[in-house]
Parts: sequence; structure tokens; C-alpha cells
Amino acid sequence: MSIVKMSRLRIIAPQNIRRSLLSELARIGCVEIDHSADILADPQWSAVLHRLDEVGDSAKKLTTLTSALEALSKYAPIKTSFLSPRRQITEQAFKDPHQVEEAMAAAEQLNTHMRQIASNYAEEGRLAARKAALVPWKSMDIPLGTEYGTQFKVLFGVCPAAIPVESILETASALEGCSLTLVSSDREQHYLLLVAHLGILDEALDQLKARGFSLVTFKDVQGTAADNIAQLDRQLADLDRQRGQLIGQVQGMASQKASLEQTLDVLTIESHREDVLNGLMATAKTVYLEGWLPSDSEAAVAALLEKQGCAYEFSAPTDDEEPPVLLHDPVLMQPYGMVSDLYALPTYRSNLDPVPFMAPFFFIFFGLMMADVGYGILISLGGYYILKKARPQGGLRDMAMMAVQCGISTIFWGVMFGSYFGNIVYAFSSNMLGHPVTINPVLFDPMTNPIPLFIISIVFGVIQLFTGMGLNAYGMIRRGDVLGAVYDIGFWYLLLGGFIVCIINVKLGLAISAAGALGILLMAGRSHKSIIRRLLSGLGSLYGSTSYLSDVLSYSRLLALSLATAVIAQVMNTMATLGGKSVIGWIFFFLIFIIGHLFNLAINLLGTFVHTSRLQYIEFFGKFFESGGRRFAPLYNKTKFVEVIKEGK
Amino acid sequence: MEWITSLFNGTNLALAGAAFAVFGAGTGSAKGVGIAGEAASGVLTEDPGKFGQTLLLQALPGTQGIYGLIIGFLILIKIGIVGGAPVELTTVQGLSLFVAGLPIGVVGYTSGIAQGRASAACMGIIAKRPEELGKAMMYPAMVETYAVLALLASFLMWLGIAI
Repeated sequence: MSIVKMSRLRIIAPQNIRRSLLSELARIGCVEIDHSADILADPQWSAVLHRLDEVGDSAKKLTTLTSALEALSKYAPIKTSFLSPRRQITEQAFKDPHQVEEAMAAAEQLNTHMRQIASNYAEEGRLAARKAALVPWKSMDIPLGTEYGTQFKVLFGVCPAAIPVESILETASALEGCSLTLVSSDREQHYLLLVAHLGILDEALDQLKARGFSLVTFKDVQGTAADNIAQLDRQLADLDRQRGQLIGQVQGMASQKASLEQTLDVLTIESHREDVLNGLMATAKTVYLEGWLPSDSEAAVAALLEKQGCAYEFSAPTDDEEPPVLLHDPVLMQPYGMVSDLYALPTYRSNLDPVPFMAPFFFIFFGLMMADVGYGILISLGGYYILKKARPQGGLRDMAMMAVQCGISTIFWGVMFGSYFGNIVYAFSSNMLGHPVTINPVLFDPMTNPIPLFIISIVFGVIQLFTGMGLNAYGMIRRGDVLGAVYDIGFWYLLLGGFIVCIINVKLGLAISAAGALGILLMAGRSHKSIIRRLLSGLGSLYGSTSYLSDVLSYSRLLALSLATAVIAQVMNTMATLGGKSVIGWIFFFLIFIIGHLFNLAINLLGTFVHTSRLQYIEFFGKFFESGGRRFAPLYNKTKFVEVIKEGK
Repeated sequence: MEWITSLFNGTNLALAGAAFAVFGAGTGSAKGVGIAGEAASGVLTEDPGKFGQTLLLQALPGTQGIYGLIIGFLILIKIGIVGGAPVELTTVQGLSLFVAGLPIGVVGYTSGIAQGRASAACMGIIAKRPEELGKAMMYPAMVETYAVLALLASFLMWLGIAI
């Protein structure tokens, strides 16, 4: 239940075992290696050390694998739900070098197919462009690109569609020994055939070009346009068939996906390890590693290092070192770490893990805002289902474990307030059955009697704020600032606590508050020497009491969101039972009941999570939290697609 | 003058209150969700994989509309338009119910838009650092506080009005 104590670790290891050492360290997963580049600034170190330049091909292999997997997901997509669990395999099967080789060969083959498909598409584009250029001439039955004797020349040309083709044809017909024929027209151009005697050719071209005519030539084309088009069509069909075969081959390798993914995991780990090695300092025969580990795993790491034949030392962090932060909490509270992670990590020096203090409040507040037996059961079951079905890791696992717990809190408050899918029991029994049945709340029904819930909300708020202030005082005392804790926290306890005592005894309460206020007025500005500035600063602090008021009132959202859930549920029930006791009424009931409550659940899950978190972040953490820690990031074998079962455990 | 009295009878005033709550908060949410959606589609053109996260942010300004609907429905239930026989209201009762609709109607409108803008700005966080979704959700959620408070005020008024 605390921030884990860290030790500095220094290792000098033989060069030749560097890779196996890192993989052993990753296997136990509790050592963070940092790049000790700054020791090179020390001339004594830099005389003997150089930076290790680890060359590996895993990054290149990763690219190959990734594009192979992309090919598979493009041509042979396998639909997987995000709930499907990772495949479980043994450590030995995971690291099997033979498997990696096979997968790499498959990936190469897939990429070759993909390159062939790409060039196939490029070729298709080229042929299609040639075909498009020939199509306008299709109706013309003379071969293109043939010489017709020595007296005449046969030329092909176009003019823009905007020019009236008749005017060009007239121009040509006015010339002796020249014939211009319209072959075809489309939206952009007219396609024209020019047959001219050599003697008039130049003049004809001059006149025609002046009217927008321009020549086109066909390179390497023999035979008529129709013949050429037919041939191109055959080639295109061929290409299409070849591509079909290639795609079929890619699809035929769909079964390789699992193996490719496993290898991707293997190589990702390897490439990460190369990154780590790349930054290390080395001599000719040894490498030097520096890092952090939790102090309580010193023994396990030492045993491993002994076995590997490394020189090592552990030391406590010095004052100018900032160790990374790892939180260790009881199993039940551990998922709530996700909520505080979203905010920030505490600093190592604060030595204050916010999770165990926050978790109970989160648990209670979440339930209070949802407060419905039906929804609570759904949330818990949903979380349980995800845990069992997907065996998730990381954030999703925390979410699911939190859902199981918060669902229970939701059920509890639902029973307290008598809410079962809103007022479904009453609405259903009175409208669909005709005998109104009600389930009485254990405490009260906030829909008709919201003030007690308002008071409960405020009381929880005061408890949480006082807890936050207490944690702040604890931090100050730990730093040795006991008087500061009394002045800055103790007097505020008096001032605020006095108001609470007022509920029982007004005079006594006011007296306590006044004492607290006086203390704040005198001591809040104790850093100032001048008495006037000191009092002014005290006054300013007293004015800050308004912020406590707004903090406390902020907890009224517990009531408001609780009401929002209940009212929407009630509205849904009212709508669902509008159909009455007919067959259609029953169908209508089930439809609206299911859709309506799922809608309400979704909307309120979002709202409840956001607002419960907000109360922790702004009102609670704001009182004491020292953020800015760096996450402990040990070397470990992180896998995305497979779950490696450790042997001997 | 009789038409004025019949126009501003209790039921009509209460209905106007319900309408105002739904209209104001609904319009605010519609605008807010729209603003956030515009920014979200910008993020999606770069990375369609962020659909879920952007949708979550876009949904945040949508709650005002629901709060408005809650108060609107509560007023309708109280005057018996939904689920019961219509009740004869005095003008004063009707006016009170109208006033009860004001907080969520007005604050729902303004906060819906403001929250939409905050959501839209936070889309940038999702674009560059998708792992910080939790923090990105907090800024719009700060705005929502005031809609929650308005809902509370409207609800307490509604509860206190005796018919």
C-alpha cells in the first residue's frame, strides 16, 4: 500500500552474454535499465568506455512482418472481436527459432505476392490508358500507322469539342486534294481522319491548325484500332486472371496469421532489447548497465547476476537521483490505480500512494451515482464476463475489475434507495398486471425525498476533504514541518470542524471556528516579517475558505447524478408500459425496456465515471497530491498477440 | 382580456416551462455535440482508429439535452399530461413550474455549447496523444458541473412545487 522503495543497480557484465542477460532480466521483469550516457561527461569514465553500437536486423524484420500482416488483413480479413483472448503458448514454443524462420519465410512470400499484385495493378493502369486512347478510333477500319503510297499521307487528329466541327470540315473540303472525315466525338474532343496530297499537306495543316486542329500519332501500333483494342482486352483479362491467382495465394496463407503475429511479438521484444543495448556503455570485453529495481527483489536479481557471472552493486538512491515510481496496492484496490494514473503519478519523494485512500471513495461514489440494483448487476456481470472471456491485461483488465466492484456498490445503494431498473416493479405491476406492487427502499427514495441524499452527499464530501487535508498534514509532518501542519491544516480543521459542531451546539461550534479563523489570520502569512503584510496575507487565506465551500457543494453532484439515473429509468418505464395489457403492449414493453435501459446505462456509465473521477482529481487530489513521478518501466516481455505461460511457476 | 387569461392558464405555463427546459438544454447539447463532431471528423481523417475515443469525447456535451428532457418529463408527469389524468393548475402553480424549467433550460444551453468547444479543443489531445483520453475528458467535464448544478436547482424547485 505504498510507493515501492527502489534501489539503484549497477552491473558490469561480459560482452558476450549481453543479450542473454537482458532476456533473463526481462523474464523476471523487475529491472529498469536507463541509459547511462551522462557518465561519459566524466573524463575518467570516458577514457575507458564507449557507447555500444548494437546492430540487429529485428527492426527490418518487423517491417517485413507488419506489411505481411497488412496484406493478410486486406485480402483475407479474419473477424475477431476485441474480447477474443490472446492465444496461450508455452515459453519454449514462443522462443522457438525454427518458428521465427518459418514465419519470416511466409512473410517474405506474402510480400512478394503483394509486390506482384502492385505491379499487376500498375500494368493494368498502363494498358487501360492505351485502350482509352484507341477507343475513339474504333469505328475506323483502316490500319493505324501504315504508309499509303508516296503521293498521299494519312494523318489522325483531334480538335476540342467546343469548336463546331462543321467549320473545320468545310475548311478542309475547300482545299483541293484534301479530305477530312469525322471519325467520332466525345465530350472533350472530335476525332478526325485527314487524307491529303503531299503537295497541299503543309498548307492544309496550317489552315486546320489555325482552327484548333492538332495531330495525334500512334507509336508502335499496327493494325486497326479495333484489333488493337481486342488485343488489349485480352491482355487485361490475363492480368485480371493473374491477379485473381495472386490474391488467391495470399488468401491461401491466411492460416499463417497466428504464426506471423507470434513472431511479431518475439521480434518486438528483440527490437526493444536492441534499443536498450544500443544506449549502453561498453569496454572491449564488458558492458556497463545502470538501472532501478524494487528493493525487495534485490535477492532474486542478485541470484540471477551471480549465475550469469556479472559484477553488480545495489545502492540506495542519492538525493539528486529521482527514482521511478511503482505503486503496490492490495489486489482489490489495485485496479483503481488506473484512475489515479489518468491524473498523474505521485513523486517518489512524497512517498504517498493515493490509491488506497481514493479507492474506497471511488467505490462508494460510483455506486451512489448509479444507485440501481438492475444496473449494478449488469455492470458487475459485464466486468466479470470480460475478465473470463478475454483474459485482458492492462487498462481493460483494471476497468473490468473495477466494474465488478463498482457494480456491487451500485447494487447496495440501489437496495438502499429501492431502485430496481428505476421503478420497474411498480410500473410493470400496476400497468401490465393491474396489481400495483412496490418495493420499499431500505433508507428512503431520493425521487420523493432528495434532501437526506443531499445531506449524505455533503457528509461524504466533508469526509473526503478532511481526509485529503489530513494526508497533506501527514506529508508535512514527514518532511519535519510539524508546526506548518498545525498552522496550515490544523487551524483549517478547527475552522471547518467548528461549523459541523454548530449542528449540535451553535455557541461551541462558532467558538471553535473563531479560534481556527484567528489562528489562520495570524499564522498563514508567517513567512512575512512585516506585521501588516502578515495580517493581510492571513486575511487572503481566510478568503480562501470560499473555495472549501465550493468544494463541499461540488459533492451535490452525487445527488444530481443519482437523480438523473433514477429519473431517466422512470421515464423509460413510463414509456414502456404505455402499451398496456395487450399483445402489442407486451412487445412494446420489452422493446422499450431493453433499449431504454441500455441507453440509460450507457449514458450514465460515462457520466458517473467522469464525475466520480472528477471528485477525486479536483476536490480530493487537489488537497494533497504531489504529482510528477516517472513510471517504473521494467524490461519485460510485453506481448500483444500471445500470452506466454511461464514454465516452472 | 379573456383570451389572455385562457392563454396564460396554469397548464399552458407549465407546458411552456417543460418546453423551455427541453428546448434550451437540447439546443445547447445539439450545438455542443455538433461542434465536437466537426473537430472529431478532422481527427478521423488522419487516423480512423480513433473513432471510439473521439465518439466518447463527442458524447460528453450530450448530457445537457438529457437533463433538459428529465425536467421536461418531470413537469409533464406532475401536471398529468404523461401517465395520468391532466390536473387543473392555477396560474401561479403554472408559473412556478415554468420557473422550475428555467435553470436547466438556460444553463443547459450555454454550458452545452461551452462544453462542446472544450470537447472540440480536446480532440487535439486525442490526435496527438491518444493515451491521455482520461485527461482529455476532464476539461469538458469541468463545464458539465454547472449543468449538473442547474439540473439540481430545477429538480429541487420541481419537487417543492405543490400541485
